[in-house]
Amino acid sequence: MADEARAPFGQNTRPRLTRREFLKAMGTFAAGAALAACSPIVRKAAVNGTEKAQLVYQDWRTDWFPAMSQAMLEEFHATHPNIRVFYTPDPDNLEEKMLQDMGAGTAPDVLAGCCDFFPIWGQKNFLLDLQPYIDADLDTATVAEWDRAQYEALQLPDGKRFGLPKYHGALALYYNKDLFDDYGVAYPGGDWDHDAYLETMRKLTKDRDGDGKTDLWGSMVDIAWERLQMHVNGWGGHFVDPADNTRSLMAAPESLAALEWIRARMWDDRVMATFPDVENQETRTAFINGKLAMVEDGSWALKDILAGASFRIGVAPFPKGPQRRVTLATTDAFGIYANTRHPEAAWELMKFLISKDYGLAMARANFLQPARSSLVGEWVQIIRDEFQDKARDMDIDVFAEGHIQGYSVTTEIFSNMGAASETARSAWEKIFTLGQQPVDTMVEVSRQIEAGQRKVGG
Amino acid sequence: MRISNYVIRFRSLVLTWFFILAIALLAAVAVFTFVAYQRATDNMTIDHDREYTYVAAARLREELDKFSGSLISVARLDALTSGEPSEQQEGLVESRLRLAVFDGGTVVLDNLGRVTATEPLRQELHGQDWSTRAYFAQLLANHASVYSDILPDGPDGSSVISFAVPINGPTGELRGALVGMFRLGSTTFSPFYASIVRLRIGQTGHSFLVDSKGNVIYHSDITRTGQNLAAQYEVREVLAGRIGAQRTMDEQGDDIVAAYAPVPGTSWGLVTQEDWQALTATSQRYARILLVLLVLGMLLPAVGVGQVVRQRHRETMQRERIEQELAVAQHIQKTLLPSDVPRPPGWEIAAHWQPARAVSGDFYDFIEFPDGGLGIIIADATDKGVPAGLVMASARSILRGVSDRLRAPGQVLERVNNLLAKDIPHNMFVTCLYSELNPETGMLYYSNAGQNLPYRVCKGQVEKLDATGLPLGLMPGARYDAFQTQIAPGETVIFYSDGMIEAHSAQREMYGSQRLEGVLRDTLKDEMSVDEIIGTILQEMERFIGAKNGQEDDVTLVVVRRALEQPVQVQLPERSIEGAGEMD
Repeated sequence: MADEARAPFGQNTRPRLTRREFLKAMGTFAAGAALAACSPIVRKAAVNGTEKAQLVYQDWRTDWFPAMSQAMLEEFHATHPNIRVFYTPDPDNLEEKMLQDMGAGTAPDVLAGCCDFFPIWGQKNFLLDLQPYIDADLDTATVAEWDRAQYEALQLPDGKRFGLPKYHGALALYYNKDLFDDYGVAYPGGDWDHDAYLETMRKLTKDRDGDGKTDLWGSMVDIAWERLQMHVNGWGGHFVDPADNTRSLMAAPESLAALEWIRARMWDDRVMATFPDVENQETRTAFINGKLAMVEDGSWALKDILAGASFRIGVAPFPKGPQRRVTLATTDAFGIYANTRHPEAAWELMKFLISKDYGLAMARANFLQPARSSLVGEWVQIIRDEFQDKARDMDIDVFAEGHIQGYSVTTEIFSNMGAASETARSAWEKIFTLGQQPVDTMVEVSRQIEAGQRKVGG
Repeated sequence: MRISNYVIRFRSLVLTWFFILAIALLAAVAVFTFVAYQRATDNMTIDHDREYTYVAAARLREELDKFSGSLISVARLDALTSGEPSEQQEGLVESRLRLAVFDGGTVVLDNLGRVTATEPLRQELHGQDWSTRAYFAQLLANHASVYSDILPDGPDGSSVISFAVPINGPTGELRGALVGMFRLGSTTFSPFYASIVRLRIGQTGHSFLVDSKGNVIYHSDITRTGQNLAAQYEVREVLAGRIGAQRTMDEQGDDIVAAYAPVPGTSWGLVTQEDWQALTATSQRYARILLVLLVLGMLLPAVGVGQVVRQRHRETMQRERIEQELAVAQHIQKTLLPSDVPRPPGWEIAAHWQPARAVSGDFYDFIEFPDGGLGIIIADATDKGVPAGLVMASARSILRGVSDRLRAPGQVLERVNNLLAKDIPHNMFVTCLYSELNPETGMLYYSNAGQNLPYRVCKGQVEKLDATGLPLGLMPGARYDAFQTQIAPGETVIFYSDGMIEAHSAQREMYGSQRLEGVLRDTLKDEMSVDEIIGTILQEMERFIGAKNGQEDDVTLVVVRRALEQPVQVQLPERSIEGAGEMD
């Protein structure tokens, strides 16, 4: 028996595991081990599951905005107990500071922006693409209420939506009714074009104290991208080729004609004030201080102007250009920082910020024109209620005309907007603010801007 | 043969043990590598968390400096440096936008620590003595920005932390302090908290900031603001000014890494508590992959080498079995050959049979008939080895059986051919020279079925005994002519198989009939015995093919010699080669 038990090596003994069984077992083991290695580790819940998502919301640093926002956020906290929002006002050097913070990963979770710098943040992928959230969680009626031009301006050519409208800032022409009456000049109306505008400016440019120097100018325009673009658009031109955002049309004849019209008013006719003329005051301040008969400004200046002016105020649609009527729809918007740790909570806050309640709160606090068309009536009434005398004959609805009638345009954005903006501003300062260079300078500026786009595109 | 197998078995055993040792070594390397990786990544994770917290504390200090910067810019206004409470109040109001970040308000203290102005206006504070505030004493001592512990100085006694900067006069003398306060707890407008939250300190757990007493200034769980955590180890460490990190358990018993670092320039400490599992998720995943690779790296060679060993063992066993079977087959085949050569009087007979492999297709046979006749058969089955051996055995049996019934060589071959042709495998056949010798008369009757012609040799004369016929098994019904000759005394007849003449030299030259004839003619001597004749023929052939060349084919030789001196004659019945019929 003992010999049977000790069978010769490899002979007449059935292996405990056949080769096939062994290989099968090995394969199963290896596959199991590989699966175990590749499967995600089940992460424990946060160390303490009771905590709230903490968000930072950054918006304007004005007298009124933080208080308004704080009060509204208390309502948000009441309905969203698992989200805690800390409001912080914009830093002084917002554009530069935000770029630094976004690059460093320390930007606020939800923030407001506008103008040409907000799309730059979007282009640099610093802002979260909101389109998936909109598609999943926003009713079409809300989207339909926004000015199409404003809504579309918050989307990049690749479809990424970097912001949603905060309020609707529209450009119009404020005028000093008392001065018009004093000099017997007819108020501007809805049929005004740039010729009528020029004629009226000439009539209202005066040396009122008789010292040989002009102390009342017909009008004034901010030397800013979107303000100049309104005139160019009126002439039928563009800063940026609508079909190709790397191509500049700044040197096109229509664009040069529009810019030359403004330059000539400032430096040839001198019926439009330059910043040095008004001792570097803001346009609205110069208007409030009686240095301007008219001023190109937006609905965002309503409260300042109504509160500050000691005269009766009128407001007219932005004068029609030789080719078409346009007005600016600002691109003030809310966005979500791409590196937020709480995108879902940030989206909840975003929905609150674009709600009717928050829009009306901004309207009540500082007359901000609502982005939603359904709130325009309430907004007008709020203004009339607060400034019953000054706003009695004021055609406030003018600000919503572009939105309602659909002739608003938004800031035109190059693919490399940062470089374009810097180059253009530098040239405009010499052309318009200082009157040192002719408008033809823009031919070279346009070429430089296009070169800047090519560098970015590779 | 046996020794060779033992060597192979020994080699397999050595290989197996070597392999087991190699696998054991590999396993040890794998375990060491894995443990080392785990330790290294764990230490790196803890070190990284410590560095991260240290950097976060430094970044927090930068954020605090921005708030101090706002205060300093206001503190330099003439209105504040004037020392006049009314002007200071006015200065604060004018700077309210810049100071708006201080949601707990701003306060101006004179050089004695008395409140002289507030924004928003808190008239009840004016004239209060705040010189007992610790930060005021520090400011007096250092003339630099100071950050306080939690104090109940906010509106309605709410908890705040205070940032204080000196207000200096034109000559640098201290004229007081500008204090900005941040409210703590459930506040909404909080640039201070915002500056901490947006640093995104901590990835997977809690982070908190404590003042010098261990009271929570900020906590990622905001409900814990104001709690005293001085009893916690990390808090005690950080308040002692130490930087560190350790793996530990939090209050809920979760596995965490607690890291701590003082906030530079303050008496505050920052503590982060990261969930260990989440923190090490990536390294754990790599660790698992490493583990799989190490295990596979160990097992796959094991499987491969194991298979090789098994295969070698199986082959050895198979070879042994075949060799054993061949040995048996060879033994059986040998028993089919005559154990002794017949020795009829007056005749010398010798035979030589050398298979090329274990089993041969050649055979020879002697049949001693009752009447004294001697059948001499030499045959060769095609091919070599086992198939040829099996055919050889079959052919021999048939020949034996037929020769019992028939005597005439031609008829024997015809019958054998017909029987073989039925069963012989395709493409196989048997060459055979069947002869019967009358020892008394020396008459040799023979028929040939494709076998090499035998030689008659005598006194240097060599003659082929002609006879032709188809090999056996090729074509049923083939006819075989019968021949006869008389072997005279002194003559020798040599039967041989084709392995003899088809042997090759190292140059691939065939031995051939002529060389054999030459040997028979020139080398054989009449006085040689039949054994010497066989020895000479084989010697010459081996010389031709060379020592290095092995035997290619089976070699069979049968030498029959009639002695010169004949014994007393015993009369055997004469018979005609045609006359031999069936025997009863």
